[in-house]
Amino acid sequence: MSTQKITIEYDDTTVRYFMIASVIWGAVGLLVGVLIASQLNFWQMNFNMSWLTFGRLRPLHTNATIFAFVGNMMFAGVYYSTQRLCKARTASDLLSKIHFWGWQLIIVAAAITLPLGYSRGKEYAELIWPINIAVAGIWVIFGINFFWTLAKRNEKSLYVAIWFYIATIVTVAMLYIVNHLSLPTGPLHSYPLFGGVQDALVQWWYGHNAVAFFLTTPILGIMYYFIPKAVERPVYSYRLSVIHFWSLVFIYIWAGPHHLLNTSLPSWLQSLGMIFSLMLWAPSWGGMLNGLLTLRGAWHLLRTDPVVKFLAAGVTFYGMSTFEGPLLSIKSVNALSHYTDWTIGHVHGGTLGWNGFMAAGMFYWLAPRLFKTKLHSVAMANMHFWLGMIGILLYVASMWVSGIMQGLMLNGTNEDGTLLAYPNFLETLQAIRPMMLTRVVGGTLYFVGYLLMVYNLFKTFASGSPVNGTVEVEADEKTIAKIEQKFPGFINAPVLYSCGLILFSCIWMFGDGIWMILGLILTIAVCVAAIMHFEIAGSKWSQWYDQLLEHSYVFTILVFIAAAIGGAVQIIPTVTINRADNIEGRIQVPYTPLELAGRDIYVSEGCYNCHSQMIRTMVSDVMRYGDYSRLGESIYDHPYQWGSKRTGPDLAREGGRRSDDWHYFHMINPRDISPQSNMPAYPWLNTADYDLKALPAKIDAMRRLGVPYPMDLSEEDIHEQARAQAIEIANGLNERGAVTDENKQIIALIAYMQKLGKYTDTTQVTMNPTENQE
Amino acid sequence: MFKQMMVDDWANLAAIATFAFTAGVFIFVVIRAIRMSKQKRDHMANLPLSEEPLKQTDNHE
Repeated sequence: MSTQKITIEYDDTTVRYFMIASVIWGAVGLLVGVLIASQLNFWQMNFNMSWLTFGRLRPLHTNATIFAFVGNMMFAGVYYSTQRLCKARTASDLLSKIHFWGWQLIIVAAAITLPLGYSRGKEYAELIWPINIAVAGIWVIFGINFFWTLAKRNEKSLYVAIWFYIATIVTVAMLYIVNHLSLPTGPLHSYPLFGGVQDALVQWWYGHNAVAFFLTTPILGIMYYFIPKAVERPVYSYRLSVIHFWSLVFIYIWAGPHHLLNTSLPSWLQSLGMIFSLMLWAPSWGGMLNGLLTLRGAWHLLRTDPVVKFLAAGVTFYGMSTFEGPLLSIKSVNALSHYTDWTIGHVHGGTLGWNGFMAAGMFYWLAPRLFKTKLHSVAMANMHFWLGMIGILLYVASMWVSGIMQGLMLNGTNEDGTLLAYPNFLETLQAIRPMMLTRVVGGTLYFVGYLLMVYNLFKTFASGSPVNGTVEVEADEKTIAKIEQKFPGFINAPVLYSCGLILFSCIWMFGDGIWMILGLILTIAVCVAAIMHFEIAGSKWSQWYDQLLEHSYVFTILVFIAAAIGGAVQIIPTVTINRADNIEGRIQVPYTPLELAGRDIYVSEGCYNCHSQMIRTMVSDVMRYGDYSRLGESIYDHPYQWGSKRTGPDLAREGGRRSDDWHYFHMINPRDISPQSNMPAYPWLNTADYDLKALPAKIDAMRRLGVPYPMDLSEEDIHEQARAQAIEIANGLNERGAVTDENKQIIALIAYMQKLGKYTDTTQVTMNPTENQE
Repeated sequence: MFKQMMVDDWANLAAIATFAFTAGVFIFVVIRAIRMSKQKRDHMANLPLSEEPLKQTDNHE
């Protein structure tokens, strides 16, 4: 075996680029956050401009902070640490450049399209389909570059941080692709493949795990790398990190349904979501303690080193958020917290505390090293820390108070439970206004602290010059390749028994009659055979496991299986149940062409950011909004619009509740109808025309997705139906003093609002085939 | 079996089955972690600290 010494120069240029991009986009995301928080207090700050309304800017805020700020920060951390842990330069400079510039292009495209109202209407998945394809493509390029680097590595073992990065790359790809499956109706519009409860489940499988695998696992990898570097001590317990990794990856993926508790989601899925969320307490706290205890013997650095200060506080916020998350997943607690500011407080404890502080700690550590200089001002970094800390505490505490107060008021009834204690929704909104204002103060403090970091970092950059790190290794280039070759592969006992177990269990669960019995017998037989075989050849099995951890590709497949299994168990049965012929009781009445156009406007304006369309199985919800929502009542909704926050009231049964002119005047200026409302005014709905020409393509797409529109509905029929319904609504409005015409968006939106809650009762279909309403 | 899953209230069964499955995975991982040799643990834990750059070269970007 020949050995040779080679000097490897790392590609730190890419790290610098991603870091600078993260710093800049973070400022944009936080600025928009402060603006939208202000809009909730002062409706005038919507400026009566369509592209500055809360409904359009809130997705910009979430996408900017998640994908632009944390995304770029994550890439910087991954590129920096992976090269050093592998003792290898990133495999391809070209792929790194494509990754960087492609990602920035995606962010710019998002920053343009979201304020213009191009949205898919699903939280954190709002971007339109061409951008979705670009995201998937760039993510694949990132993955290729990453795994190629692992293949070229000069260090045999894969450190736990690399495990977390692998889990991130594989799982985010899976989640993103499945949740963004869409049927385009034009270059800028599409309908999600999934609808109703199925869409809700897939969305929160994605949404929850976007938190898990985009905002958590990569940052945990960064924690396991940068905290030991910052305190110059190895991680407290490597054993604990191994348990932390597998437990987290395996459990996290099941917890998505906790976003849909007390809804019409099947109860077994709700139970699964709750139980797995509670189980997350253990690995999350194991990871937090492992991170904090790595500071053993170095606690004094908290007084002097801003890097350690930020990292320790960040990990502490991780612990707090991961304690609060399972708490909110308990069904009875969720009945109080869901749709309120408590969830907002929980999310921001995690993003501002965990993500924001970990990013700051990493940036303060990286900047001097990447530019061969000293940090411009330690005092300014300390000031940033305290401004940020006070800002978070004000933000989170006010949202806790706000959420609990509004939850109690909305759920409150009189002593005998026959009347709502606060029947007027606006009364509960007025009660939380001081807390909403406190949130603005907290968010502004955090933003000011962040700006200090921006200034401090750019002064640091300016005081030095960019340098790339190097390392000298004794590399036998064939070493890693030989290890890969030595791997026993997949045709061996543990894998074959596992495949057999999965196959026969599926036959047992999905089969009928003899297949069910055969599946059960074979499942038991495989278990018994595996146990007996293990007793004989146990040592060889453990050897297989140990080798597995040194083979990146095989390890990746195992991680994929661990992450995919939870989604498969939850989603596959729901795909089946969410069909009209499998549902007894209420089935949604499909939208007319005009109502569909109105629904697209509802989605485009981001109304789901403040209004839910899901009446939960709770007494107070039913008393306030009407009969609880059934599974079939949103079965044709692509996308579903159940929402996750009620800044305004639920709209699931809004249809027919109020007159057309009430809706007209309310949308032109909400204060004319409800003086205390904080809803933006939508005057442009009465000046812009709805897209009549696009309707045939949209109806055709809906038909392909399984919505039962008549096959003989021609383009002319669609246009004629839409026009006829619009003229009827417009004439009615004009008679009541509302000046409009039949082409305006407001007409389509009113048509949609008046349809909400309409259903056909299949149990009475022979007696009354027409649509019913509560 | 699948039809029973759709029709019956099988919340308890699903919760127990998945909990047992997860517990099995967890126990396996714990055993593997406990049985990891000290040499291996020390090597892995020190990986971030063992790759300090020996020198830095100017990069004219």
